[in-house]
Amino acid sequence: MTAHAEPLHGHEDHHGPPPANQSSRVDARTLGMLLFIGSEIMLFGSFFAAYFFVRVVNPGAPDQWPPEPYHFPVFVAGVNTAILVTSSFTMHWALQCIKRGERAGFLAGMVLTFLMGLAFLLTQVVEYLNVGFNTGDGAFASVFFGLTGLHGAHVFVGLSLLLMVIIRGFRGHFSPEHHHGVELPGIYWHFVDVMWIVVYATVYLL
Amino acid sequence: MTATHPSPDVQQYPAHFEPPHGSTWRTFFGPGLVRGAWMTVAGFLIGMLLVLALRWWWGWEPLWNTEVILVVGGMVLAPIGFLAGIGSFDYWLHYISGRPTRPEDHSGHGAKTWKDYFRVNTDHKVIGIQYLVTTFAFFTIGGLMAMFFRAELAQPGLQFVDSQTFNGLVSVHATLMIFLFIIPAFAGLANFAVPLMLGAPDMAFPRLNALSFWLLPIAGLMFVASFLAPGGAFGAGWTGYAPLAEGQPLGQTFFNMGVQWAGASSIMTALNFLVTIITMRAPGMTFWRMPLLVWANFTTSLLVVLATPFIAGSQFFVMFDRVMHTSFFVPEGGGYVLGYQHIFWFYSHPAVYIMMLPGFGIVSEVISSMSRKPIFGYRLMALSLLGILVLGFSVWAHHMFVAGMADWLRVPMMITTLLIAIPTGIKVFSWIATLWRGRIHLTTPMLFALGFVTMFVIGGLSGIYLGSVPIDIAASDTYFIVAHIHYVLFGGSVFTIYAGVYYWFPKMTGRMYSETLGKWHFWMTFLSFNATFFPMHYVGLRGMPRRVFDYDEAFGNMNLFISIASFVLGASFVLFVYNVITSWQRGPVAEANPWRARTLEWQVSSPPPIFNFDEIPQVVGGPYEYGVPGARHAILTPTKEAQKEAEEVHA
Amino acid sequence: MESPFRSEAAAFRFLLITIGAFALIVLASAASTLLGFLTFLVLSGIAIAMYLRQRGPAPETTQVRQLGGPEERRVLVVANETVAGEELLSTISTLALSEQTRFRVVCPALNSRLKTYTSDEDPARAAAQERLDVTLARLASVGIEASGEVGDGDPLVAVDDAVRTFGPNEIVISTHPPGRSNWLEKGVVDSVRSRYDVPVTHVVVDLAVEAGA
Repeated sequence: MTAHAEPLHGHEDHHGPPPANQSSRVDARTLGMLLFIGSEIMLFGSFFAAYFFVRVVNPGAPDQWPPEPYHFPVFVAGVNTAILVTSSFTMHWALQCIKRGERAGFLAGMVLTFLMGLAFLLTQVVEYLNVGFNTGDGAFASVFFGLTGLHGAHVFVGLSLLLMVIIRGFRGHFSPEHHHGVELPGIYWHFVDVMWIVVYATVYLL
Repeated sequence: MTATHPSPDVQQYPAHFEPPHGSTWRTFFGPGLVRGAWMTVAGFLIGMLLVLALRWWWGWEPLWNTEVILVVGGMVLAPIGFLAGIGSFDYWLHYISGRPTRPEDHSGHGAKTWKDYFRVNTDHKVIGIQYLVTTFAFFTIGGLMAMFFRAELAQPGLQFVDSQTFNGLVSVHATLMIFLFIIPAFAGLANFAVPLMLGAPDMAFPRLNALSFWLLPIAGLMFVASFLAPGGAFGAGWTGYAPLAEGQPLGQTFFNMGVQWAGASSIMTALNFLVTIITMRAPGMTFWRMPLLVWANFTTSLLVVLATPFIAGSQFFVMFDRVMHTSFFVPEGGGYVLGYQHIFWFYSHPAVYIMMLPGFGIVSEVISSMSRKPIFGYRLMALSLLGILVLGFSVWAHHMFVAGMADWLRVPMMITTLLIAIPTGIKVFSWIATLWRGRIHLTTPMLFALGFVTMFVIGGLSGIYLGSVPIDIAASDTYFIVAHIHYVLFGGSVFTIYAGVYYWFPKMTGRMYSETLGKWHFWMTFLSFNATFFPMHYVGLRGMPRRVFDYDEAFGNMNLFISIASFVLGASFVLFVYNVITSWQRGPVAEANPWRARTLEWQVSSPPPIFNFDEIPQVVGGPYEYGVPGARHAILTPTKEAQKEAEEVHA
Repeated sequence: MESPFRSEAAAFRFLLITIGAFALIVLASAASTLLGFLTFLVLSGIAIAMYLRQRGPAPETTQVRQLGGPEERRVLVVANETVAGEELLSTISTLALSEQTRFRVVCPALNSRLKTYTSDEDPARAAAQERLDVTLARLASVGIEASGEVGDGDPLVAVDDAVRTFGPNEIVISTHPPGRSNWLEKGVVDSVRSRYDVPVTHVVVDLAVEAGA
């Protein structure tokens, strides 16, 4: 029956913690990114649910979507889709480069990805200003701005992550052995793109 | 990255990194509450200027829109300023800037004085205690609100407050209890216990853990501050239904945003738990050897990560409808009003399991160790948690039987609702079977655990009644619902929180609480709780609606009785607080394992060493093998044991 | 199809697949809403099926911390139903010929699937204890002193526990012939071989044949 509340080795603070056991083949940070993306998918799910209610379930939903006299800018958004998909290609290329040690290609790829992402966002802002309706114009507008806006916010977060990678990349912090800090934003960026495909198809095409 | 390995990506500073500034500079510009204070103000001002600038540039009238400025400035940028000020982003900002990262100096880890509890601290044990103290503070506030409106309800008619204030009290009471007490209190207990039980030195993401905690007081403040808004606190209930919520005064926006902050805190914590439980278990700890508290938090965390975004969505839509004139739930614009309830309840039903499953885990720990018996049916206890997880997503519309939704949805939802009784019943029977022929020690945690089993069964039974559509049609929005809620949330969740706090109190503080006071607390709580809430079943079925400040004269006596009982319940809490504070300060010093329990947290000192273990233990058996000769859960110091073995060979 | 979360390359591939799939869905919807919805369901089903069927990466090999001294040899014997089998006994006796060999016998408390999931393990443990007692007695009768324990119901976990506490230089596993093995015995020898860096001997004992002999 031990007497008192002394830490086992009180003077060993400076040793630091013992390294934790790795009880899974999955890397902790990758798993964290997976779960984060999972919760974001659910957030988009709630927005898609709202869309579903307004367009499909609502007994008063208009037959024409969007209702007369409004139109969705399918072509501009289509161009934007092409830009975003290309940015995923450059992202993938950038990662392939750093895995092979080609720093120039890696940095070029990252910068291109960032610029294309930025172009996507700016095009979306211009699209919003010229679309011919705003948030107060009815439920179709609400779900339009809701879904595309939510997506735009995620692009913004993605751009911030890419910026972090670019800054650290220019400071020489990534190598063929250590590029986890590029891999995870890469996964996030591809998911932003996947989400855009779904949003574009649902909002503009279907 | 864990606290242990500095990133290999970056070059390191030398080991002893001295901060370059004197202590006055550091008070105002170094991370802490002072910097937090002025950066909060700065955040608000930046937000206000941003809104004004954009509205001027776009030519929107009027230039000054209080609600928008309050949302952007007060509810988004000011909290971000606060978080930045206290230093929760410091490491990441340093990382982002591309400068060499500081090696882990562990100065943000562990607590030596009370001041360490008011900083950004990366130690899960400190964070756990921060959570518990904060949540009990909000429990006190929410409880006082309850007693206030119970005073109002003691007699028919309005005596003390006006109707909007009454609605505000009821709404804020529930909101605080759910988002600022039950959910985060379980997170706090789990934060403390789970890494220790797993044999891990800390959580997977200690800095994220610290950030998750500090989001919580922000949410709480927002909810409480709503009373100061013109028009009063939000009065649409914690459920905040559209269209009522959309026409409410400014206070409702405090609810919309506060939920976002609380939700973010919850999701981050859950993510941390999931990664910790999956990737940081001690060697030999397979999933089937984890203690049931860990299983419970694993399942709860899955629920949180998957479901919470839906309440975020529902509140976004209401806020957009209020502030940006969208029509998500405005029928004139083509919106679908019932959509709010579907989206809201798709989270809020799993939320009740989020509020209960960790409690199930706590009760399993307490009943097993206080009966000196293995948990009966361990595997099915774990699988029933997963069963509740899956089924919990399929029952949300049982909150909407009278809402006017499609008729065909009601019976399927009734069936799935009744099905959830099966995994829950497995648990109740297993606890009883664990007690059967055990050597029972009626300590305070055990009393609360046993009280939980009986009260939760009563609450569960009223839930079965309500799951049946015909009964729900009659009982919906009456005091029968209030009775059900409080039996499962107070008699259920709160009792298990008390059980957990008493059980782990010696481990957390190194002191033993007063058992006498604990028992008085239990009995006073148990009796006054039943006196308060049991009569509500009756008045509800007799027709008294809920969320009303006035009612028929016939209910007067019963309401008076209930109100008096509720004051006694409030008074019983004082016993708890007194016990905790005095025992923490000058209670008898506690040993490492006062309960002779077998899980890993009891195998280290009370309180545990700063990094939990000198060596990661090796798990070689289950955690509940009470009375099994020769059974061990783990080898605590594998290297020493190995040396001993080797020496024996040569001896 | 690898999980798109495992690596950036997998996520990129997932993006390309998504583009293709949604192109199909949009085209099908242009024809009719029902067709579009069905296409969505079918494609999702295929994706889920492909994901579930893939195998994850193989577990790494653990270095066993061998606890015996330089002169001592430690042999871990994992015996399921077959501890009294002649093949196993002769294998052990051969190993015992070299001096300074220490034996530990582990009898996993093998149980049926239903009883494992209902945690009804007491009979299985008692049976394993009996098998263990018989084995230790048989070994003692031929002059081999061995220690023993009843192990977890899952032989892999039982081996893992014994490896931690005993630190063997080699492992001997005896199993039933393939047709009659317990549901948990399947693949245990291969798993143990790939998981630990010590030599693993597999002895197949057919008690029915022995009883007849």
